[in-house]
Amino acid sequence: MISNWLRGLLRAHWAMLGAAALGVAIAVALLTLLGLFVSHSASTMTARAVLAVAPDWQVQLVGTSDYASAQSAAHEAEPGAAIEVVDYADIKSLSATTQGTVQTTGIGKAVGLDLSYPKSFAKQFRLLAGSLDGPLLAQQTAANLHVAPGGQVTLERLVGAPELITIAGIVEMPSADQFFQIVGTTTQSAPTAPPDNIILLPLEKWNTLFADQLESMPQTSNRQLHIGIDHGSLPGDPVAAYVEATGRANNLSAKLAGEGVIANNLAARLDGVRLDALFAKVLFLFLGVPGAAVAILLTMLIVQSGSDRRRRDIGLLQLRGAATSQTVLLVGLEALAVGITGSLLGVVVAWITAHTWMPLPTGAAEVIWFVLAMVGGLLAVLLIFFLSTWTMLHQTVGANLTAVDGHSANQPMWQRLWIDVLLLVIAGIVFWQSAATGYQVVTAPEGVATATVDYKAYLAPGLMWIGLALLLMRLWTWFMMSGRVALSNIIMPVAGLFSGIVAASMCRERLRIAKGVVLVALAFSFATSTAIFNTTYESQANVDAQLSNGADVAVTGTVLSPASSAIEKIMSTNGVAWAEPMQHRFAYVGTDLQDIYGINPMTIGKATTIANAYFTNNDAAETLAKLQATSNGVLVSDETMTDFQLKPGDTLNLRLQSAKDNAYHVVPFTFIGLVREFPTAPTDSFLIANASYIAKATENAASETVLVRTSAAPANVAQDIRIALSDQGALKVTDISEATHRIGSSLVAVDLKSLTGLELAFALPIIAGALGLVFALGLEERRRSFAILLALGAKARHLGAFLWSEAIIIYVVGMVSGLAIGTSLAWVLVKMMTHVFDPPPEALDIPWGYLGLLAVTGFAAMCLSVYLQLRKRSEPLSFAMRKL
Amino acid sequence: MIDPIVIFENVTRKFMVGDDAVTALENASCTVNAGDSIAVMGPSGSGKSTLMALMAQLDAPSSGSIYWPKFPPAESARPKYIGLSFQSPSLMAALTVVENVEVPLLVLEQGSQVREKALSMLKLFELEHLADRLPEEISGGQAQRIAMARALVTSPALILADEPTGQLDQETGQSVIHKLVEVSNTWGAALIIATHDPVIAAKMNTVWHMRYGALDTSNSIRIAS
Repeated sequence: MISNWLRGLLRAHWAMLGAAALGVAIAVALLTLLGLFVSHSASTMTARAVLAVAPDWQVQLVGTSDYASAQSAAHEAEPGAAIEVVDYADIKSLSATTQGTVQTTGIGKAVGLDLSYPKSFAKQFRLLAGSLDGPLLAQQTAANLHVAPGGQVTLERLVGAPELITIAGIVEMPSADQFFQIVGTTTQSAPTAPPDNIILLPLEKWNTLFADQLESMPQTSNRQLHIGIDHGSLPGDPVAAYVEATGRANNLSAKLAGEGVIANNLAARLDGVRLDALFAKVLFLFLGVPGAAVAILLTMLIVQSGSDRRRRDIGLLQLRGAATSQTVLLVGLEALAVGITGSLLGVVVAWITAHTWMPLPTGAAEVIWFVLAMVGGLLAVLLIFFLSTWTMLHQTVGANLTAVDGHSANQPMWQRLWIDVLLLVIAGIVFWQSAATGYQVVTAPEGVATATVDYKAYLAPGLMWIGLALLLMRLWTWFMMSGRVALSNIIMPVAGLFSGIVAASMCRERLRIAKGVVLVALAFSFATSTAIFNTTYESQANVDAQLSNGADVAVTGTVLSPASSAIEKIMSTNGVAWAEPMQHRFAYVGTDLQDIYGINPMTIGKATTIANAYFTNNDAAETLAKLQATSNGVLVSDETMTDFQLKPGDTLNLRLQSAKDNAYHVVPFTFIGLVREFPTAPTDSFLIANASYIAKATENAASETVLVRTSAAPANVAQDIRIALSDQGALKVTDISEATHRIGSSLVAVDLKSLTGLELAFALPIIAGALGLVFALGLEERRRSFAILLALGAKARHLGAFLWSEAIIIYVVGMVSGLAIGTSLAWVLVKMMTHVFDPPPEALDIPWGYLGLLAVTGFAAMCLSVYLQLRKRSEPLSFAMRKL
Repeated sequence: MIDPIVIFENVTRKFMVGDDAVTALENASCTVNAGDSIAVMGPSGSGKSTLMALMAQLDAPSSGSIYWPKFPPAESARPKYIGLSFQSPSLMAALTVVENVEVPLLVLEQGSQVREKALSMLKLFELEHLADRLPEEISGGQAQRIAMARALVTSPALILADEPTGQLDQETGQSVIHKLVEVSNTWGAALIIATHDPVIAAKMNTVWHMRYGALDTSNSIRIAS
């Protein structure tokens, strides 16, 4: 009996069963791929995060004499790890004589390194000039002393006579904060600023120079082991990797038995990534789950479309004496057929996608996602089937054989209880609460292995989505109940003389049509919110990268070789839309040496994005105009304002180096405002002033940096500029794509573009399916009506009046509502994900192209659906009439 | 005066049921003239509905020829020249009674006075009080009469009614047939009714018999009008 039943079902209802299986397949494939993304992103995040750490551990040795036993303990704990000895010593100053003038720095640090160190920890130094084989100067120190490779500096030690050192190279130290950190302080303490003046010496030379100081003033020097472990041995998940990195450091600590204190840079980095990993999961949930939900909803409606037939089947089974268990078995059979086919198809689609388009790993660790999605899909289908047949199973034979899905005049329960409005109110309250706490959706306290997600915050977009969908249903059913004349006028161009009866027909079918409108709106809203979020994210990532690199392309020189000397060559390079010189000097605020940027406030915006969020008053235009109007104006960071108790209008005396005598002289500035971030500026304190004023005060109009906006691909333009400047080796050319890889947030590791690309690709069949399904829902009744109309002499255009009117109304109302709901959701998501963005976006970026594609896809699906229903019938009309 | 509206010449209609060919109408020849009122009688499955469908241009013959000499071949005969009501319930569920009756007028693109015409036809069948009801709110018999009002609303030259009194009590049935005959006489239209009921058939001036797809017009009774 079972096989006969199944065969009969497949023969008679293959289209409905196939469509339902397809809906399940979309949901299962989407969920599987989401899972794979979560897994893949977490491991990519970990890999990228640990790549930037150098060294993983800094072991501060207690005492300075015997480091051999500590080295041996480290080798024992981490066989194969890179281990380097690093010595630090305080120095009085460094000085150099250039062009007859003497420049002298303040106190600083002399660091002793083995020549193998740059190889062991390649990311610690970036060679700017010269070579690494000998004494090195940090970039800022070299700039202060006006020393180039081959030049000499005098090292003033705390103990011993001054020593003349010949400099081999100039280096940038991207992780100077970490390199010079005070080991042993708690992780919660504020990071210490690196010394302003740094000289790096070969270990042997350092030992020779500082042996006496080590002996007589041991507190002025210290010795560390820098250890780099095998990152391949860490788990992919950031949380697990953090736990492992902490455990292994503790193991080394035990082996050192009090000989050293460990600064666990690796664990600290992974600690930060945990937060991003959670944000990534939240992103996946926000962006991915609605798609799967729409696919499930689609499946539910497809299954529901067969409920009349199922009710009759159950009635007939009951009539022939079938027990409830047998009936359940047969209904379950239909559900299983749909569920198994759909789930299998879904995982196959996911597997193929993961191996072709993405690609994503599908190893043993990822099998769980396939299994979970399959089981989830199967359970969802069983639930949908049994919920839709539950009442039928408990009704009498007569009730099942006579009942039809009527057009109930009663309002559904949710409408009577105003659930839609209630959901929107709750969503509003939750969102308001989130806003009040600064949208802290994810919190990961430093040093604590567990991180928390404020799942309550999910309620805001979730309830808003459902609430808006229900509100749309309420409003649309209300309009169709009371706005028949208006509807008739709206469809007049399509339906002509039939507009009255078409409108009447649509109004009586309002529940079905409202369901269709809502389904189409949900499908559009899912695609819209994902697309807008993605575009905004991409755009902000670009702003972030511009902030880091300075502009699309940045040409960086030094005081001795300023980039502005090459401005003509840069301007004449193809693809350069604007080149803007920007001074980058150093200035003393009290005893604090800070970066100072000299700009032309009127033209800087032509070369790079100057976002409102860069300034505390959130108004870039007003701030730059104020700077332009105040020739000696200066913008300072919040920290500087607090430290120096500054008030707007105060005079701030800075010391700037003069080109005339290379000495620092006091230059009065007027404090006019606060700046948070600025292109190329460091994340800590810095100053912004007018380039013309700095040029006058320092008697040097040159600009060390040139920011370039490109009209072609930045990487290509950067390459062309490099070629044009090949005779000026001191100038470095960087483009935005390089910066993208350097920017801090490991969320960059989340391949959001691929994820949203995948979701948006899924959105197209979902929208097409939703529009197709909406018509399929009324197919049975429509088939009957059309047979009658044709028998009465109606032509295809008359049938078209019904179909096109309904289709266009559902399509237009569904699409417009979907776009509106999607945009609102995207706004909420962007707000709630404020911490993902750096800086936060000022407005949503609307991907018009993609939205246009969605609209066209929906329109094509609608036209195809109408065409299929209007196509010539295969049986004679007389046959159709007999079936009425 | 002989004024043919439909001419059947050796018309055969076969259908495929699975792998078997079933002959629903075999070699039928007949002529329907303006003003004729014909009852087609025969048991279920004898081919009455097939004959009506062929006359109404709902179907095409497998062999033989059918002519409608008075209807312009370039335009569809329904609903302007042929009005038909069906054996099965044939009202559109989403439209009210009056909207159902309006449909043929709208198909003919008669933009003006559509509602008035539909209401006057409902009045003829004493159904105007049901104008704003939905089909699900009326009885089967009322629906059948409304379907007849709809068939007549365009004043067709050929009226085809398949089992028009199947769901009516005898008194109402008689009254409906009386109205159909009266209207067709007034317009000079031809009226063809497929029926089992000899009482109804007796109201027609001609009776044809059908059995196993064979149309027998030879023994038909023609009552001089």
